[in-house]
Amino acid sequence: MINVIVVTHGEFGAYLVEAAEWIVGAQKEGVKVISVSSRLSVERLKNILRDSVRKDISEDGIIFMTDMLGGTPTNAVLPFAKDIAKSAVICGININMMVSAFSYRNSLTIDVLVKKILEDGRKSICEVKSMLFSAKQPGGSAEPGSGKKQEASKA
Amino acid sequence: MTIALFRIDDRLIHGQVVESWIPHLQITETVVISEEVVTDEIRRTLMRISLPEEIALKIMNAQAAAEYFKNTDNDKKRILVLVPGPAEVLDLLRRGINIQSVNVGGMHYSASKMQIGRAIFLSEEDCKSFKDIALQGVRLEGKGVPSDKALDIVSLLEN
Repeated sequence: MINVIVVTHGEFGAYLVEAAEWIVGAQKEGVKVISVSSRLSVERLKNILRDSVRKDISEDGIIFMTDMLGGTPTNAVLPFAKDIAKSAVICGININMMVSAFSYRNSLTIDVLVKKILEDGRKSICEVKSMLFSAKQPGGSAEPGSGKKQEASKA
Repeated sequence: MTIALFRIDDRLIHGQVVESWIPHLQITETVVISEEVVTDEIRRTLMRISLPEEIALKIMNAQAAAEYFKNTDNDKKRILVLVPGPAEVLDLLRRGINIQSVNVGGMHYSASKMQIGRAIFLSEEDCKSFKDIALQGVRLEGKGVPSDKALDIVSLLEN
């Protein structure tokens, strides 16, 4: 199983994990949350990360999920990830990405899982109103046609 | 067709259903039974968008559903049935549909309802309906997502 370490500004990651667990079930093992706040010195953060990486290393790999490219959580994680062959750092996390990570970390290899998380995250960013009402659905039928999901641009 | 899960969930299609139950049970088709949704184009469209494209969606009232489930074609469909509350279950039972077990997923809070599970709140009428359903030999199991511990609904009604 691929382990996940969520590192975010404040309690964002903890709440995100809680919400995703509500959707796909509690994660009994292999998920850790680290909340970075102004009360946590960079030294202390590094120590926590060092400990976590040692304890949570999995032979299937480890994915760091962070909130913001260029933010402290991402920056702090990178030096550790650099030294772990089977690891990835995914930033910009949202609930779909979290759900995707939890659902598939048991069954996919790390490379495939990383792609899946990114794809699910990108797909989830969209303006729903125009998606719903621009492509006119066949009216009156109680069995909706396969209204094509409009995919967000794969930037 | 195989009915892989029969679920009461007042939110019908939402995250728990799409991300947990559908992959867990390898569902190929979702049947939503709700008179209200049949005539609500926005909710129908939203449901279609929320489901993965490869999962078929049928939305119908109880009468049409009873007809549909009488079809005993030996196809490979694995169906998830979603109903908003116990009334639809009783309706289908009255129409002669055989239901062995019902998953009680979400019945959300409103004033004066009694809480028996994390997202299961029951009115007096709900309790009465569940007793009626149980009397007909249907098992009632409270469970939000597959990995949750199952609640024996009937034993909680008696408390």
